[in-house]
Parts: sequence; C-alpha cells; structure tokens
Amino acid sequence: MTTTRQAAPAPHREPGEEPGAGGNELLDVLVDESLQWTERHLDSFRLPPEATTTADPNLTLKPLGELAELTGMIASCHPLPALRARAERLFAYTWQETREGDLLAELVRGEPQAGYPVELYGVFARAGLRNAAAEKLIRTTTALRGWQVAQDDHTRTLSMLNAEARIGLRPHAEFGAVLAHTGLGRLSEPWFLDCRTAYGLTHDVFHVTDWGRERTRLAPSAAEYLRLWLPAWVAGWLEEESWDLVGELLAVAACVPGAPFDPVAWRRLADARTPDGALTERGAPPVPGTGTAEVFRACYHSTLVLAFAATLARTTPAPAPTPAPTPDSEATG
Amino acid sequence: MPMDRTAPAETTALAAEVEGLMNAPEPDGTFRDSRECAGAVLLLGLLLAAPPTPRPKTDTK
Amino acid sequence: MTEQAQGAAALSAVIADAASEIALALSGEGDPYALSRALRQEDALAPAAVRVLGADALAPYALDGHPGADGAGSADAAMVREALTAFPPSGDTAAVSVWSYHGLVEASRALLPGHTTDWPAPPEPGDDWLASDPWPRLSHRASQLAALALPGLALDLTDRLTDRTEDLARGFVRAVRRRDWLQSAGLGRWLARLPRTPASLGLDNGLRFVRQMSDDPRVALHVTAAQRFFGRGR
Repeated sequence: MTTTRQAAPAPHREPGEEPGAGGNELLDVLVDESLQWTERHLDSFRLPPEATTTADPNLTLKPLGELAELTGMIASCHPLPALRARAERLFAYTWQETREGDLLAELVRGEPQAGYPVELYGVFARAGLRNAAAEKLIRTTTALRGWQVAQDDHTRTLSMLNAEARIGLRPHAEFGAVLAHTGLGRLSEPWFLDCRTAYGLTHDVFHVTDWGRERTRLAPSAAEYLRLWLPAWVAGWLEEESWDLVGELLAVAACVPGAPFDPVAWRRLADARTPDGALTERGAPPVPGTGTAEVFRACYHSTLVLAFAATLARTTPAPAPTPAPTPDSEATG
Repeated sequence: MPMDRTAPAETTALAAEVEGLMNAPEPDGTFRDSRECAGAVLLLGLLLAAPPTPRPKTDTK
Repeated sequence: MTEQAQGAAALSAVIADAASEIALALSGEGDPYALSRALRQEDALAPAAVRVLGADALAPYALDGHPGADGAGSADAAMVREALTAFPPSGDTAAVSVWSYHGLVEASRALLPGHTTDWPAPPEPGDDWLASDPWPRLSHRASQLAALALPGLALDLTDRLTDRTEDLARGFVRAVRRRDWLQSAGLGRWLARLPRTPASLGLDNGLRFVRQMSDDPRVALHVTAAQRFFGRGR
C-alpha cells in the first residue's frame, strides 16, 4: 500500500478570492477547531467488530467514509501545512480502520451488489491507497451488466461514476447523460427546492467537481444558476437553522466562480457551534450532559462539512466573466 | 366628494389600519419540507441512503 | 378579538372582495368593471380599501381595448379622491405608503383622464431604499408596491427595480420557500414586468404555482395582473 500525494497549493490568496479582511482567519479557525473536535471523538468513528455483517452501515461505515472523503480532501487541498497535517492524520486513521482495504474486500464479498463499498474504496484510491484484493473484486462486480442497473437516484449514480473514475474503472454510464437528469442538470426551479432536493443538488456539485478539487468542471450554465440562487437558499436555511445544509451550500458556493463570500452566513455557523467546536445539524446545540454517542450522531456530519466548506472557501476560484443576460424563456427555466 | 361619515377617533384608528395593511411586517416563514426529508439529514452524505446490511438468516421467522 | 383587530379584519374582508372583483375583471370575466361597483360607495370602509389597493383599484381600465371608465368615471374619480383625501401620507408615513399614494394619483391621471382636474399633488416618495436595502428587505418592500406594476405606470420605479432584478428574483425564491404567498405574488408581478428576469427562475411556473398554493384574492390579483399585462404565468 503506497501513499502518493500531490504537493498542496502554497498558502497564498488566489486572484479573486474574496473572504476579505479577517475572513481567512475565521475560515482557518473553523477548520482547525472542527478537526480538533473530530480528533477528540475519533473513538466514535471506530468500526465495531460486526461492521461488515450486522452493524447498521449508516451509523458505522457512513461516518467513517465521510471522515475519509472530507479529511482526504482537506489533507490534499488546504493551503496551511499544519491543517493539512492534522487532516492527514485523520485520513490515515480511516485507512487503518479499513485494515488498509481488507475490510472493503470483505464488504464486497458480503454485499457484492452494494454501491457503498465501491464509493468507499474510491475515496482511498483517489489518494493512491490501493488494496489488490478489493480492487480485483470490484473490477469484477462493476463490469457486470447487473451493475449498470441504476441502484438509486441519479445523484447517487454520479457518486458511483465518480468512484469508478477514481479507481480507474470503465464508467458504467455516461456521466453527462446522468447529470442531465439531476437537479443540477435540470436547473430545477430554485423556489421548489426542499431539504431533500437541496442535498441532492449539493451532492451533484460535489460529484461533478470531485469534491471541489476540479471546480472548472462546473458548466457555465450550472455555475450561473448556483451564483444566482445560492444567496436565497442560504438565507432560507439559515432562518430554519439547518446548519448542516447551510454548510453544504457554502461549500457549493466556494465551487462557483464569482460567488461572493458571505461573512454573515459563516459567522452564523461559527456561532451555532458548541464551545468545544461541534456544529449540530439543526437548531440548538446539544445541551450539556447529553451522552457522547448522541452528541456524536448529532454533530459529526455538520462539523466535518464545516471543515470541508471552510477549506474550499479558502481557495475560491476567480470570478468568471460576467455572462451576457439571457432572455427569459420558460423553455430553459 | 369627501364625506365625513366617521368620528375622528374612528378615523384615526382606520388610518392606522390602512397604514398597517399597506406596510405589514413580513410574516414568520412557514417551512414545511416533504415528509421524505424527515430524518434524511443524518442519512445523507457520502453514501446517501445505504441499504441495511442483510442479517445472516439464522433467525426463525 | 380586540376592537382594533375586528376593525382590521373587516377592512381586510372588504379589500379581499374588491381584489376578487378586480382579478375577475382583469381575467375578462364578470360584468364590465367599475370601481364604484366593486366597492359599495356607501360602505364606510370603501375609501380605506381604495387607499390600500392603490393603483390596482383602477387596474382593469389599463387593459388593452378597455373602453375606460365611461359612465362610471365620475363616481370612480370621486371614490379615489375621497380615499386620497381621507388617508394622505403624513410626515411619519412609511415610504411604501407614500409610493402607494403616488401610484394611485398617477393611475387616476392616466386612467380617469376626463375627471382629473384637481388631483392632489403627490409628495415625492423616498427612494434611498431602492439602492441601499439588502435584498430580502428590498423584496418585501417591492412586493408591497406591486400595484404599481401596471403598463405605463411608475416608470422610474421600474427602472430602479430593474437594476436589482437578481435581488428581487432571489426574494421570490425566498418568499415561496417561506410560503409567504402574498410577497411571492407581488414579486412575481414585478418580475413579470422587468426585462431581465433570469430564465432559470422559472417565473411562469412560479406564478401558476403561487396562484394555486394560496386562496388569498390579493394573490390572485397579482398573478392575474402579471398574466394580462405582462404575458407571464399564463
């Protein structure tokens, strides 16, 4: 198992970066404190012995997979070496928890039709961490005609396709054709989003951009759509105190050329945290005395998303040239 | 032609109502997501809705 | 219910009835329109209702091919004049109220031309907010002035709002998501009038959606105006 990492970008301001005075400091504090909280709760990410059999994957493999995806991205993209190192340690922990991929091979043997072991393996393959047995199995299962049958909605299919690309497999469907059926591809009426379709939209963006690493892959029409409507969505879900979704929307905003930095939203997220740096998914933070497991479940996702979004916001792309105003037409609306 | 049909106190009250209706404050937002959203936040993310792992068929039904 | 709340409810009911009549007239249904038929002149609340409805009290006269106020013109003009006299903007009146007053005078001059020798001179409404309000606040205020979105009316205001089209479109998104249908419909009406409303907003579908999500006649009035005057949401 070898680790090959590309050098991270130097810590400097990109042209067009707009966090403004003090913005970067807040973003860096958010990443640092979120990762520190995660470090202190690492035991809660530990897989139980029955992780590949009877445990609920949504409470075991999903948190671990998210920890791997997001810390892997921070470790390779954050401009500050200290924060990259902190994320790198967490990422290494997730690889150890999979027993350097052996557990993923076990998962595939247990559930050869399931998508998530492939998505998980893709996270590590993206970082150059490979496991020969898991990969051989995955090559076999993903080549089946049965694999080409949609497992879930189109957004999830994008996730599969991204995993296949990371591993170096032949894609089981054409990415652009699948994207065309998603909320982002369809440019859903922005006022019709609810929390479910909004999460779908944020994930469309994450899969298209390989979790913010390839932000130029966003089509200009999609980028313009997001630039226009993100402020309205952020305002609405801030009012609902849906911190988790706001974090994802701010991550999306950081993928859009020219989307303005929203200092108020970042401050609201920062202030919604517990004193020790955890961000709850929605509403008020857990009251003091809440059990560790419950706090973990309520906070781990949003806290990781916050670190991820703040990393992306630290390196926003330059604004695109202002597009010519498009004539209003329902045909494209 | 203006007609004075109301007593001054009533006129003042009515003027306040008129102003109130023209310049009503924003009502509180009513947010109601599809019921499909309920509990979805925790399950969304990398794996989205991963299917539950089948248990070994050792239990009798 | 307090006495004041009862009064407000009574006024709201009168306004709702009139809004229904106006929307009906705009959609080409019902009897030929006259303000003096939509509101009973002897109703003590009629002037207040006219003042709140603003320019919309005369909106059906702005339809292409409408014969105008014909025989009802003088009665309508008297009702409008009474409303303007009874509820003038005062020093501490909100900008929205001044704009609305202004719009009613302007609409009367344009739509009741034979009866307009002595309309009061409208005060100059404050306009700082058009540039300085953050988009949610701007959107709320603009929606309160949706009656001014009539053909040929409030051209300066329309120009100023055109500069903030994207902000108003975001306001529409926010208002629909908050289920604030009246604000949604008012903003949708402005956006129907503005030339550069973003296509991805889906305004036509949005207007139809808002119309059917609400049973408020004022919502129906705004959507019908957007349809008839600006060809959107049909």
